[in-house]
Amino acid sequence: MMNITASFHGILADWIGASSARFDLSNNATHGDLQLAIHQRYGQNMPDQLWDKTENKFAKEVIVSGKGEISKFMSVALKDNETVDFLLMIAGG
Amino acid sequence: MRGYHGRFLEVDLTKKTTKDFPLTEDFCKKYIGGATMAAAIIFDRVGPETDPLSPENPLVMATGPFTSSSIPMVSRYAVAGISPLTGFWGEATSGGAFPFRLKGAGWDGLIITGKADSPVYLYLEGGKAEIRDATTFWGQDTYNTQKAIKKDCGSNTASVACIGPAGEKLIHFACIMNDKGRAAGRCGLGALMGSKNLKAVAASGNDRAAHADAKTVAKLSKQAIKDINGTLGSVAFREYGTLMYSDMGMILGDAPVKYFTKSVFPASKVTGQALRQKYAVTNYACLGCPIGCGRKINDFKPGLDIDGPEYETAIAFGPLCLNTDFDSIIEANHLCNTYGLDTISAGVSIAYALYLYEKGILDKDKAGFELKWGDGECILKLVNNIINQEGIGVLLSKGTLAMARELGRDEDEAAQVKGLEMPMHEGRAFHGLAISFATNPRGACHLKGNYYNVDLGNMIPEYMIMPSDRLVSEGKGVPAAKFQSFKDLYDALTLCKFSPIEVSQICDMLNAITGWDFNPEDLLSTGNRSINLKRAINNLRGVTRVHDKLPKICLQPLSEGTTDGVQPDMDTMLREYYQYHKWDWESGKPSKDRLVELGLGNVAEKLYT
Repeated sequence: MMNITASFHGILADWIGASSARFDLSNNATHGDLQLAIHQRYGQNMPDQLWDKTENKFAKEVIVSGKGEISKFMSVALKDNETVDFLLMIAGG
Repeated sequence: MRGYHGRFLEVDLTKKTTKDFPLTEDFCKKYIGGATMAAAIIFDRVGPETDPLSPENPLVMATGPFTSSSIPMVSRYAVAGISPLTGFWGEATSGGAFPFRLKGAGWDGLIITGKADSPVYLYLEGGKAEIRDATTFWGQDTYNTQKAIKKDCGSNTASVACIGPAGEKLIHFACIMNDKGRAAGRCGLGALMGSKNLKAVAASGNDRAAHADAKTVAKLSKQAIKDINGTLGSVAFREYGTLMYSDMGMILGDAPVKYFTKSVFPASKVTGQALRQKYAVTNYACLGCPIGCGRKINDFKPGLDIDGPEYETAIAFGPLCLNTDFDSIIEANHLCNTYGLDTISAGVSIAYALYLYEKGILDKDKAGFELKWGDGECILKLVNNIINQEGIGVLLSKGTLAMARELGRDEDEAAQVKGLEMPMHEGRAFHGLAISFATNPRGACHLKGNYYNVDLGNMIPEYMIMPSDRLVSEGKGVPAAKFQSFKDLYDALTLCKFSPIEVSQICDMLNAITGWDFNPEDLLSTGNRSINLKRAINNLRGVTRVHDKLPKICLQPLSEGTTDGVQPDMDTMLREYYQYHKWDWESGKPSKDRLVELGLGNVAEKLYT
């Protein structure tokens, strides 16, 4: 098993109800698996628009950053003790 | 003609006369409405020598073909004239109910010239216009003025746009307020209104322009509401207002700190979440908007409900002044709303004063008291000094460029473009934004060049405006030019910048309302026409390439945060921008051919004689 920390920034933390959370995932887990685990734990709190039901992942406005780089692919493998940042990229005002 | 009443109301306050200014369909098709149509009207009436505060400078208020239709997020209007703050092209927009009522009174807009010999207000209802005495309202704040004039009109449905004491005192960044806390904030058009002795415009009515295909308009509106409600952005704006961006802006280095000299600050103290946690907050919407990004703070002080600050205001009085005291930010916002001041120019001028004090250029004697970064009380005192035209407030009320000049400082220290103070976004965080700030006709404007939205993932494939590395300059000039033209069109239509509807939807809506046959290329071409027309007004008033730049204070690399060491390559982007628009590199003017190509032969004639 791997231990992964998900860190939620800005209003994402408010919507999810946590600024960070730890997940135990299988050794070959990917970014997609992490997102599913987050949704399973916190999905009830999230606004519907935050989750893309067709693709089964966060909406396109959510940027996922691992090891300081933006990850665009759900198939990217995670590493034990990795922290993955989730940021909502909506600007205005 | 569909979608328009086909007339503006022309008011000469000197002669106390009103008459219709008829609009032809060709004119409407060419300039659409709002700020673009205002530019076409103003171009014919001002010259290089027109004093912004003279009776000859027209104040134009304009709606567009979308205004008062069932399309969501279109209750907006534009105000325009030569800016008393910058001396160049000036425009501002506002939402609320006033735009709906202005068009509902039976006109597409107003052209106000002259100067009344005593304070007046304009009352519009059912196609009738009256110039009424406003002596008793002169001196009153914007909230009380709106209340009192509504009572004077005896109309529950009247909506009022007015100036406060700041506009009466001709403070260069005075704004025009409507529907309580909605502001046409930028460029000091409240001072232009004040120079005409015009306290307010009150409008009432539900007269709607006929649509070419009402059934399709209804269908498109229904779909648009569904689409808007389906976006995550709408949920975020509804729940947290524009302040939802504060902490994200700070992570990206997009929210300026300490008068543009830093980029890291504990922004979590001035966010939409923090506002909701600390105060009793409710939201409100402009007429016909399904989002409701406006904030109302209930019982801010016992029995006092006030408008909450927008993102721009909270950053200007907050991180830009190193201030985390939310109470003082809210109160500064309330003071500006009440007395009719642009919060951005006020906040930036105050931050500049704090910067100058730290450098020893201002001292206790000159300022009247100690100016300290992060001191909420000091910021409020300075806002009051500006409003009351007391002490150091007289200097601050002229804006940063005049401050630098009067104090003998390098103008590159003044955080402005073409005299308009920088908004609360950073060109160092989004290079496309830097070139937009530098080139926008009204000066540093985040609304026509909000390029951060593009680089955060919002593409416009019809125009090949695609997200790219936000910190890369090369290749940004052309998409930024296109995006600026496209967004300029929003203020012609009039459509809220937060509306997430697609280009094809905008075309379909415009065509269903007017019966025209616009395609995406026609839309962009109209936006280009708008930018070039406003540019020509500026060229005639002395703008050249020299004015298309960011001041050094907003360009020099910072040494912290996610934009550490970053500096946009302005020269590369400006050359690309000029090439797209076919502007002459030496003179900064649009080429004759380009103007003719855009149907602006009359403009070319005036510009090249």
